[in-house]
Amino acid sequence: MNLHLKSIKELRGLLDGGDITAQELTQYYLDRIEKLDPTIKAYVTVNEKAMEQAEAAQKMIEAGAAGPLTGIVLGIKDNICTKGLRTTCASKMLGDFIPAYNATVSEKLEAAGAIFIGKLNMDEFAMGASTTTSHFGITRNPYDTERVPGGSSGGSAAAVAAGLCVASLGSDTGGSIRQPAAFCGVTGIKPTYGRVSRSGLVAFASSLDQIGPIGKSATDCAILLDAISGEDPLDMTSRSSEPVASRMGAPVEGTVIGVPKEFFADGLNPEIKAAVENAIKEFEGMGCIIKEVSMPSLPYAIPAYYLISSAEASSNLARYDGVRYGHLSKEGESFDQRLIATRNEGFGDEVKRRILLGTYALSSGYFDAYYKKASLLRRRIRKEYEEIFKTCDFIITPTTPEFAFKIGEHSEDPTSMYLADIYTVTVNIAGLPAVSTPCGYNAEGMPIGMSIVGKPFADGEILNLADAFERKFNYILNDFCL
Amino acid sequence: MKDHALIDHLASLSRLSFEGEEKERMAKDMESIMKLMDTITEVEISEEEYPLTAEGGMELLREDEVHPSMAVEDALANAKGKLYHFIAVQKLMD
Repeated sequence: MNLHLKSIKELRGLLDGGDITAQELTQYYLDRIEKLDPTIKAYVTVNEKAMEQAEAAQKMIEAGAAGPLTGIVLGIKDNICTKGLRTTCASKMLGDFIPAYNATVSEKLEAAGAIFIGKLNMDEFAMGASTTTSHFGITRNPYDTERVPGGSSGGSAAAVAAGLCVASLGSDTGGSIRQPAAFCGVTGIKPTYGRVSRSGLVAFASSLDQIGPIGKSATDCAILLDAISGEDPLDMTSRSSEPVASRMGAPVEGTVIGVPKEFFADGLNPEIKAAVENAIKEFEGMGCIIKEVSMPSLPYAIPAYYLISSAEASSNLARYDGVRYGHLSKEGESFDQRLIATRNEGFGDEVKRRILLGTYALSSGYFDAYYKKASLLRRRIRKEYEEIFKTCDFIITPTTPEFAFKIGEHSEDPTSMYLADIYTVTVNIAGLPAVSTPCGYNAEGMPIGMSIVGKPFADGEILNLADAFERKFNYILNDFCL
Repeated sequence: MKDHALIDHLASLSRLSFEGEEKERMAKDMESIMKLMDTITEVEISEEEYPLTAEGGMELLREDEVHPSMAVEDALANAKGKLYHFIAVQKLMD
């Protein structure tokens, strides 16, 4: 039985019906990881206690106390704290860090009886779009192992695409769930800022970070999103919100979809443009109303995003001093010398670049020209979204301007990697929800993703629209899944 | 950012340091990054048009209530230097 091709609902039926046990499902995925992950390298750590979790889940099932995720095998991005299970953030700095507490999302999933099969690779401290900056090695795209899986949640997307877990959690600061989902041919949602607690997520840029699911479908993502959503006293930005899974199947006829012309201009690969335009036609065929809209500030979104996120990162990463946790250098006579040696040894090049950029943007004499200007642009971009949503229910854009690129491409000039985030960062800047779902494949068989953006807390509505498309879409499975 | 003195200054503020080839590489990368960031300096935008006031949130501050906290042993579990129930660091002053 190809259990790795089954949806959460199908597996729920098999588990509850006694056709399989949680232990058998867990062993199935452990076997797949042992066989396939030496090639994909999606996992930083495989959870040695996964079978213990499976036994507990099976008891819940047999007691009739199973919820939607009881016994379901999940992978967790390695920047989300898991009590007693190493959480490295893909950095030498946290290479041996074992959290003494769970992130709120981990706590919720454990209580729901989900099984954590392991911790998934990522770009170091979630800074990157390729999962090539990890201290623990490069993750590979299951559709072409010479290509990147995207990033920073590259392990989370690759593991779902290769059938190495049922679904996974990622985090998205500027596109880090949606871009790898697009590159790996799976579905991933960046929830509305505040829907999911950030407590226990290793902080990168606190005003932009959000945890979200990656799955084989919008419905799988909806089930996982419901399990991790909710107000949390440990995160004052979190809010209570309506469940999303119950929205699946709602009619989409008559909804108005905005198509911002700037997202389809120069720089967009023609095959991606054609695939997204075909998807828009598909929605038109479903009775949706298509409307051209405009976001004039898009060309400035990349510098605004990188200045704000790097400024926040430079502050957040100041905590890594080797004293309370993390790498501690053996070099240096004085406390200060050892602190500098610790940070020099513990951080990789991309993290250092972001810290320098953020420090520059916040430093005396440059603050107004960079950080303040970026903050003003953030307001303008939010305003432009608000204007669009006065007449539209949704916005559809390509998720990425290019396909998954070859490993090593963009490594010479960091800005060429930054520019690839152009279609995803505005959503984080505005705090909106957006889902990326597959909408085609190029001539070489590499997946193409489109993004559906919604109003604040319209996460259920965008997942429903994605679900409506997915029901008509012809998926091509990658070699690892077949 | 060809100015190595600026790289040194930012590194010092960031508790990092760069020498030799690494400094050359970082200066080259930062020059390219700043060229991209500088594109926002051309934007005409004012605080009058987009006021930078706090947006909500403050009303969500919760009451200060005492709850059980993490055990000391757990809180110290990841510290490299420990002495009794304390974190041990290098001498900060003579």
